[in-house]
Amino acid sequence: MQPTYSVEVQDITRRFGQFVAVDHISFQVEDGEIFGFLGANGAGKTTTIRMLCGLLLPTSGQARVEGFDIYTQTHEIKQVIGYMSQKFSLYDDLTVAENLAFYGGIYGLGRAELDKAVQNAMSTIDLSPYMNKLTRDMPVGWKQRLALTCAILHKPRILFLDEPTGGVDPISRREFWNLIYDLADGGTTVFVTTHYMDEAEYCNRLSIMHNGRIIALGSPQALKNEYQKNTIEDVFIHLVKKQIE
Amino acid sequence: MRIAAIIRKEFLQVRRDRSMMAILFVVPIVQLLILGYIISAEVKNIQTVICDLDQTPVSRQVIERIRNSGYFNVRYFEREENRLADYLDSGRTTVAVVLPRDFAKHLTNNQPVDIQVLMDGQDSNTSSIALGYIAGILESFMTDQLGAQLAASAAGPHVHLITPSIRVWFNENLRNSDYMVPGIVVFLLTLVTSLVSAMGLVREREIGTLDQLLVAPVKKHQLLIGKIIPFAVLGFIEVSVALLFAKLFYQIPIVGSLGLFFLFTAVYLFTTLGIGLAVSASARTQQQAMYLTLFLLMFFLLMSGFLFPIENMPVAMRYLSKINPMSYLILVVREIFIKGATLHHLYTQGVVLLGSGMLIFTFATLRFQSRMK
Amino acid sequence: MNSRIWTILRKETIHIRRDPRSLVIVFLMPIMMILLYGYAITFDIKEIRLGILDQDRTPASHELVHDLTSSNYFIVSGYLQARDEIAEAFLKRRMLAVLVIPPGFSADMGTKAVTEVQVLVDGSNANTATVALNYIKSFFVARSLQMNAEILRSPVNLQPRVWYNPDLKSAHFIVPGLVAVIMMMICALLTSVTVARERESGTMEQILVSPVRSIEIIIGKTLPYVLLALVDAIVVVVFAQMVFGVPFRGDPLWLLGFSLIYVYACLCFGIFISARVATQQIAMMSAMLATMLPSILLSGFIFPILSMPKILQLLSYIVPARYYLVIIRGIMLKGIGPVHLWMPALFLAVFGTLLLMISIRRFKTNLEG
Ligand SMILES: Nc1ncnc2c1ncn2[C@@H]1O[C@H](COP(=O)(O)OP(=O)(O)OP(=O)(O)O)[C@@H](O)[C@H]1O
Ligand SMILES: [Mg+2]
Repeated sequence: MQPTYSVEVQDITRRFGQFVAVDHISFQVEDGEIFGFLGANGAGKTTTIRMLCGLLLPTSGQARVEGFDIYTQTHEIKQVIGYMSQKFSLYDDLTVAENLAFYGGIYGLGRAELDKAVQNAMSTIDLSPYMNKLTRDMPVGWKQRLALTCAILHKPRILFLDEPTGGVDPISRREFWNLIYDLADGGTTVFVTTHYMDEAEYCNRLSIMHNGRIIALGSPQALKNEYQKNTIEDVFIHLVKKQIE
Repeated sequence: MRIAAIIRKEFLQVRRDRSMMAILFVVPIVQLLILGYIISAEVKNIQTVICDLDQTPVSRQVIERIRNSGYFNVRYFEREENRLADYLDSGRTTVAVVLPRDFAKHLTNNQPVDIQVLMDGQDSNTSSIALGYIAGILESFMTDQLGAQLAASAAGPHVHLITPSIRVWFNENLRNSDYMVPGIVVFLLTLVTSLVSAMGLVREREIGTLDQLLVAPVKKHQLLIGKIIPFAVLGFIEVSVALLFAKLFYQIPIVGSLGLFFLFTAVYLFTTLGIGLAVSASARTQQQAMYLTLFLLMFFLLMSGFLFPIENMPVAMRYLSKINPMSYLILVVREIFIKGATLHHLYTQGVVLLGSGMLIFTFATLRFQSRMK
Repeated sequence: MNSRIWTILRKETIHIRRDPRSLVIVFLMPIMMILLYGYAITFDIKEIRLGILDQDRTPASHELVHDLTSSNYFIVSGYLQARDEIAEAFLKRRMLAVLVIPPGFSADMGTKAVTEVQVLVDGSNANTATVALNYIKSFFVARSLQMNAEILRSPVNLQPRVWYNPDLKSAHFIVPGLVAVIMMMICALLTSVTVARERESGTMEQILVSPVRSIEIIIGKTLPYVLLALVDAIVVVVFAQMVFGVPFRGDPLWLLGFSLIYVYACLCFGIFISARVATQQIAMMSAMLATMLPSILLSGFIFPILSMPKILQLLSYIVPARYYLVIIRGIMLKGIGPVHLWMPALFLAVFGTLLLMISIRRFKTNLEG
């Protein structure tokens, strides 16, 4: 059976003035897979995600998200994606419940739908002890869980996570990945960028970016086999060193 | 040197930050240029309609005098007196002058004549000045008429007049900018130093770098000095730039000692930087810091005698201006620049400024330190 | 109302409520401005502080001084003994002008046609000095006429009739004008700062990836400020009437209607700025420079536009407050209505719409930086 693609990117490029942040990259993300984006700082990961989310127009190239064109159908795309940006963007001076109500509200969720969505999320992430606390008083690990909850209230078909685990302790990180697996099991495509090599191993497929280009792409096992390394970390270091030479 | 490291960092940040540069230089200079030109005591170009019911050479002579005075812009002539109201209602003119029927006839017959002036009084200041102009024009017209009368009656020798011979000191040409521009310089100094120091610290707290500084082995007072000195230096640069512009664009005189001026400025900086510091210690967000500073500056601005003379304000307002440090510096700067006053004449102001500086700065430091804990 | 707008609106209201300090300032500021502007702005000089150097010391010279002081325009603030005390008196700011009555004054009075006295004026404040000069000149003209009353007659009388503000109270002029400044401050400055704030914290990005439309974000974020602005405006108008006795001659409903148009124009200005700025500092500086300062300086709020240099006069045409000032003063002081005021109102509407159209397109793409 031909796989259906959640994201199809064709030769996409983004320049900032003279600087090329994303340089003619192409890849596909299959429905329901966990797709990892690995790359050094400044590799162009965030820029790519922002283009896919309709926050930034590409300089050239084609891309579709859930079958919608990123130039002409941004409004349709926004209905079906969830996005969690590099810094968890929550309102510090709102309580947890108010943040949830807000993010549900801007996706047009009614009161009942929102309650159900929150209830749903609570079964895996129990935010109830914090519901009426100001967000600024929560520990980082909890903020990140709240941010994720906010991003999936409207049941997106694809979820973009930009370094979702920065500054989070190992236990929380493991739990967070369990959530991601749950989502993927439920059929959500997950597109995630990370700097953590152990996280990279959790992905179904992985692309390694360097200086705006994709320099390797495949399942973690396939990559390790191809470059005859034991860990993704070694693969990554090997590839980046080769690029620099 | 730890203090030096902080100072260096502060300067680097200011230089890189475009908005900061705007606060420091663009905004002040724009203000200097605009304010200097609009704050003039002269009212010109007063839109006028004249209803000449007399239509004689004498009435036209009055009209000519109004036109040539340089203050009035006679835009319309109207024949119907009852249509004048509409000119004022619609705002097309602010003044309507009515020269009555038989104006010339009555004048030659030595009968009194009334000249009616309708005035849009909304802007009380402009209106009273405009009324003054008209009164002056009529006065000179009258004087010439009297001259003619005297010549005719040959009563000359019996007339006794007292005339004042007037001499203006310090600002012989009565240039308004000489007085206003030094005030602007002081206002800009106040604005920039208090705003920048208030924002700078709050911003650092919002970003979180303040914690970074606090964990470093830097003493509280070192931190404070390191943060304050750059702002003080900026204040001096600011004042010097503003002064340069004032000199170039407005050719303001500087009769007195520049050194004395900078001495007072230095004393005054304790007040403004203290205010900035106190604001930043009280505000949690940049937004709060901005509003608070704006609020204080508004008060400073209005109660300083910068735009509006304090002497004419109600008593309560005059007392308010006495607790406004800016009003003292404005006075000092004007006195030094225009009259060349020396420390001997400005002793009281110096004491007050020194006192307020020490008071506010100490208060701010204490607040700041207690917030740091 | 659309539920997404409602959501944003509710969130914005919570922000405002959770930040009581800013809220207090938003309400205190107008009240302070009313009191300060209402009482502080008096250009008219009431009394000239006059020093006397009487070198004649005769009944005639005493009489002159007496007449001067009883005229209400002058107050004697000191007697000098010698000419060289004058400079020091000016430097100590003890007096604004000095009248020097030369020796032989009374002798001259009886014999000569023209007797001279000398007046020295401290010209450092050109404005005050000019007023003082005029007072002094007209005092002596009046006195000369009076001395020769049998021979000379003043044939021309000026009959001024002042409309709209017969007592020439500056508060009647200034305080209604404050509505223009305060609404601009709230609608343009406050809104652009809150938008910039969301941009700094990254939450704006989070909103922009959702299906919310620009116009919904704009309405949701600004509506609470519109309400604040209107409440402030009402406070100012009520204060103006109660404290300063400013008349309200026109129709309040028209004022409300036109004010809504002005609020709309101010908001569009704020949005126009918000669409361009990335940080709160820049937002505030731009808003101050582009909206607050022109509303105070170039709108005719205090300084008459027609007396400004030509270029500033031209600039004032794009200052929305200029038009609103005509409207609010027209309705309150003159009691005129839409017949005379539709032009400025129309301009405000067009001006706002133009800015809004430009901004909505920029609002989304702005994230590109
Ligand atoms: N708006 C912008 N203007 C100019 N340059 C930009 C802009 N946004 C990103 N860049 C540059 O593009 C490059 C790629 O940035 P990007 O944020 O995509 O990297 P990244 O892979 O997400 O890195 P990180 O791991 O640090 O998040 C960087 O060098 C960055 O400086
Ligand atoms: Mg990134």
